[in-house]
Formats: sequence, C-alpha cells, structure tokens
Amino acid sequence: MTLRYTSKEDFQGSIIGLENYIPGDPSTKDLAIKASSGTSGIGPTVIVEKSPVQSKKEKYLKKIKASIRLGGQRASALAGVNLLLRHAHINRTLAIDAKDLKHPAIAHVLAGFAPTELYAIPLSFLRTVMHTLKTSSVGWAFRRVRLIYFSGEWTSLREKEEIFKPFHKLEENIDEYGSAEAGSYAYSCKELTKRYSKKGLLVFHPTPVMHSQLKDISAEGIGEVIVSTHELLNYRTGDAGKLITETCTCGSTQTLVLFGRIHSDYLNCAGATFALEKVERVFEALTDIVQEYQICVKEHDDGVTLRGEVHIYFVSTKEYESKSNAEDYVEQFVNRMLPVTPTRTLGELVKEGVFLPTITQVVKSIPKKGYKRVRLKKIV
Amino acid sequence: MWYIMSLDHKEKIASLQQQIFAHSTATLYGDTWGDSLPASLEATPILTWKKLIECPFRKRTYTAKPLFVHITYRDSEACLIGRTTSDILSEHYGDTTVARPLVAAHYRHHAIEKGMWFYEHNILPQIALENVDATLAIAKMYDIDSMVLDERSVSEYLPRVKTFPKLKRIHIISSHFDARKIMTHVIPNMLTLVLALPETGTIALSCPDALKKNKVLFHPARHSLLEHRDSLIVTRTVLLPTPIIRYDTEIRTHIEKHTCSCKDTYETFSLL
Ligand SMILES: [Zn+2]
Ligand SMILES: [Zn+2]
Repeated sequence: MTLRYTSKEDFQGSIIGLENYIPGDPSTKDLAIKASSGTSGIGPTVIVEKSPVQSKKEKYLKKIKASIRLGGQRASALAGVNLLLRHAHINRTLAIDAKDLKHPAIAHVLAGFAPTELYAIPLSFLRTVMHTLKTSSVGWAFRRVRLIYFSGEWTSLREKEEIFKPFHKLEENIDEYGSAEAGSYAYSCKELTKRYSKKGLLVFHPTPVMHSQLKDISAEGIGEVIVSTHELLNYRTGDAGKLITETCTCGSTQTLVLFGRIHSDYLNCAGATFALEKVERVFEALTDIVQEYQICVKEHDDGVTLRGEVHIYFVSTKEYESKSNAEDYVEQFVNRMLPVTPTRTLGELVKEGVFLPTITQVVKSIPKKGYKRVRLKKIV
Repeated sequence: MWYIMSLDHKEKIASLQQQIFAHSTATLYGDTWGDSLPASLEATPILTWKKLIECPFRKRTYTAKPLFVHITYRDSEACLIGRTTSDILSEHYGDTTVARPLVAAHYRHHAIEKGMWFYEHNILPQIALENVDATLAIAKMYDIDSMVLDERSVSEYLPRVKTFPKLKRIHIISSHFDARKIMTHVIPNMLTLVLALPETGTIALSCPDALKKNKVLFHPARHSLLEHRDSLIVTRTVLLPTPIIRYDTEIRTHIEKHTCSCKDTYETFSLL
C-alpha cells in the first residue's frame, strides 16, 4: 500500500483546521493557533490545532507543581498554559522570555516563584537563562527544580552536564521531540536516557502520533519520520530516524533514534559548521579528479574533549584512476579550501587538534540509498 | 473622596475584609491592619506598591487554587501576581463581542493572561509573535475581527489597523493613553480604553459617548470601587489571589461632570 504523504510545502501560505472552530463553543478550549514561518515569498503555515492530551503528557502533567515555561513560541506558551490550567494538578505557572531576562530584578522574582519544574522547548532559551542568571543566583532561584522538560540538541554531553549541574534536586529530565506545526511525536524516559547516555544519541519513545513505519528506509535502517495528527495526515517531518523494537522498563516497546534533518544543508560538529554549499564549491574545483563524492563528519566525545574527524570518499574520474597521489591531492585541497568556521579552514582545525587528521579514500561507488553528500556521525 | 459607594459595596467589602483577616498563611494585609479588622473601608490603611513588593509571594497569595502568574515591572522592581482561571474569566473589558481576536502585549505573561480571558469565553485568540510582520501575515489568514493591545504594542500595531477592514473592536489596556495618537488610527466607535494596572486588573473603562466627541473619560469597571484622592485609590470588590483593598495606583485623576447614555454608572473621571 502506498501512502499519500504531505509535507510542510503543501501547507505553506495556508490555514488549516479552522473549520473546527465554532466561536462560543466549549470545544474552543482544546484548540490552539500554531504557525511556522514560511520560506521567502510564501506566507507562514497556520494550523488551528486540536490538542491531543497524550498519555505521557498526562503523566507529566500530574507531577507539575510550580512550573516556568522558558521561551519558545508565544502561541505554544499560550496553548501550554491553557493545557496546564485545565488538566494539571498544578499549583502555579509562569511564562517568561528574553524580555524578562533584561530586568534587573528577574533572579529575585524567579526565586520568589520557587519553580519545581522548568519547561524549555526549545532548549536554546534555557542556555540563555542559565548564562544570564549566573551560577550563584541560579542555585538560589532554581534550588527546588525537580523536573526539566526540554527539546533540542546539546552541543555535547559535557554541555548537558554543565547546564544541569546547578539543579541539585533534579530527579528527572524529559526530552521531547516534535515540531511547531505537528506538536510532539516522542518523549524520552528516565530509563531510556540512562541506557543510551554514553552513546550520545537522541533517543525517544514514539507516541501514537508517529507512524510505526519510516519512509525510504536505508540499508542502515534509517528513514524519514512520518506523523499523523488531527490536521496533518501522513506528514513528512524531514527528520531522519531509526526505529528499534525493544522493551523498556517504562513499558514502551519502541525506541526512536534521531539523526537530524534528512535534507540538511549544513551540519555542526565540534564547534565547526559544514555547509553543503561550501563543500560543493570546493569539489567543483576538483571535477577533473572527482566524479562523485561523499564526506562523512564524525564527532568523538570522550566526555572530556569533543573532537571532529572528516572522512572523504570519492569515485575517481577515468583520467585519474591509475594515479596514486589523487587521494593526497584531494585531501590537501579540501583541508586548505574548506572554511568550517568564520575565520578558519578544516586544515587549520586539524592543526589545532580540534579535528583529527582527515582521512581520504577512493571508492568504486557511493551508496545511492539514503545518500547524502555530507553526513554526520556521533561516536562516543 | 468616594464619588459613589453603595450599601451593596459596603457589604461586599466588609465580607472581603473578614476573609482576608481570617486567612491563616497570607499576611500582606494582616501585618498592617494589626490585631483587629478595620472598622470600615475609610479606616483601612492604604496599600502601596512598596508594601506589595516587600511581602513575599506566598504571603500575599490568599488562595490555594491553581494560578497563572505574571510579573508586574516598575522601574528596577518587580512583583509576581497570580490569577485563577475564574479571576481571568470575570475580568471586565467592556464590549467583547468578537470571534477572532489578535492579542499583542510586550511581555508574554501579559499576552497569555489576555489570551486566557478569550479561552475562558470560548473564543480562540491569536497571540502576537515577536515579529510584527509575521504576526500580521497570520492575522490576515485568521481574518481577525479585533485587537487587544497594551501600551507598548500600540505603536507597533495601530498604524497597521487600516489594512484590516473587517476589524470591529480594538481594546487598549494601559494606565495612560495618548488619545490624540490613538484617534488618528482608530475611529471612536470601535475603541475601548481599559484603564488597568497589572497588579490590580481592570480599574475603569472609557465612556463610548465621550470617545465619540474625542474626549477620553472613564467610568469605574465592574468590581472596582474608586477613591479620588491625591492619586486614584482602587478597591477590587472580588477576592483576588492578592486582594486589592485601598491600593494606591499613583494614577492622577479628575472627577468630571458628564451626562452620557451609559446606564450602569454615573461616576466619570479623566486622567491628569
Ligand atoms: Zn522507557
Ligand atoms: Zn458614559
């Protein structure tokens, strides 16, 4: 059976789900207006979302006493507060953003609120909060925090440890995976996080919103995550993941390992950025030697230092097939020409030890399935 | 002086003061009232901003119900104020017969509180994003029929009102209003000025008759009892999580003689 898939592009510039809204009807309380930004020239996607109160969320809602929502879209914050006040055994809730952090009394005010839960979706604003409040007053303002609910990628395991360090009473942190337009698809659990913590992988238990079948599964079992909500049917998330069937102590029988965007134009590794456009520009100058190529960026995290490593695989042109120095030439050229920070090239980061020496290899062919010119692997 | 104080008000306030006095953990009022209940509202000490912020949050919270909390900022000081969903529901904003409102406020907690008012009335609000252009692009798609603005979002959104021909109501919630500037963008028929402080909630609403004559005059809002002294002293006749009994708003007012068609009140004042 073939599914008819939908993607962000199908909805761009339109509003969907509005027919569910009957002004004055109590069902309005379950609706929320969510929007995701449009690409140039096309308007945003607006979704009148019917919020599903999922089992995992319900469990989380029961735990909440005094929660602060940190940043995120304002529309999501309103929807979240609405959900909390209706379904949670909550005591109090507050929502703040960067404007609040500018106020000199903010640490004092947050301490007075005495939060026991922090909701940081996306994660980025939690970083800003921790930076702004400085170590001493963070301890004071957040000394009672037991639960942190977040989504997003850490730059390293060390960063995660550093951010969580001031929370002495932290019992659990729940990682959520989802998007502005389709809500949340999956959650982490304490056991799962513990089980995979050394591998530095993003792991979740899928919710019923997520399809149990990925799209275009590669030889490694990686495919695109597909979800269906009230408003979005067979929706392509653009995220690459792998589903593993395994039973967790929490009762869940599936694990989703997430690998980032399928059509990513750039990726970050060990503080460097690999932009597809720049990689392509470098290889355009090598067309007489290189017929096809793939670069694989690996991130090594030993818990102390984060180091990158680049592998270049290429299929040689007929003219260079027999020339033994082609690999060296390509490697030196890429090291010298590929900028990976605003001021430095890959070669310079290798010299500084931020990256391990580049490895280059001529291959007979580049695998076509799940093919990406630049891909990232995290190794711990 | 009180311009108007009915017997009904007197009874409500006496009962409120009793509940406040009897509260076991909150001490905001008890600390200044002393050992006995004030004999009357006139005899009740005035509550100031300073006293409010000096009192810890839990000591000025007179309810155990779930609270949505916002922050009230004043210069370098700040104060947490909680509201239950029923407080939010019963807040008075005048004519709100709208179906697709856009809510814009400088601080997200203020915007969420106004958004929650609409949810409590089974109306779906669009909440403004940080980006005005993106917000208005969404507003066009949602086909908004009204806007709720605070003093800082007024300058961002009022100049764009003309691009929304279907707008029928605009609420501006603030403690001061640049009437001339507002009137250049909005016709009086669709305007409601809501005199409010974040810590007190709605104090008064603009008189629609006066607005039509380009005059900004206010009538006290439901559940607000006003005293016009050196500055405006407000008493909210409902038990808010942090009750407002003789609170000094530091807003300067002037009682005005005025006849209008507003039925439920005769007290009219202007802002100085
Ligand atoms: Zn689990
Ligand atoms: Zn009137």
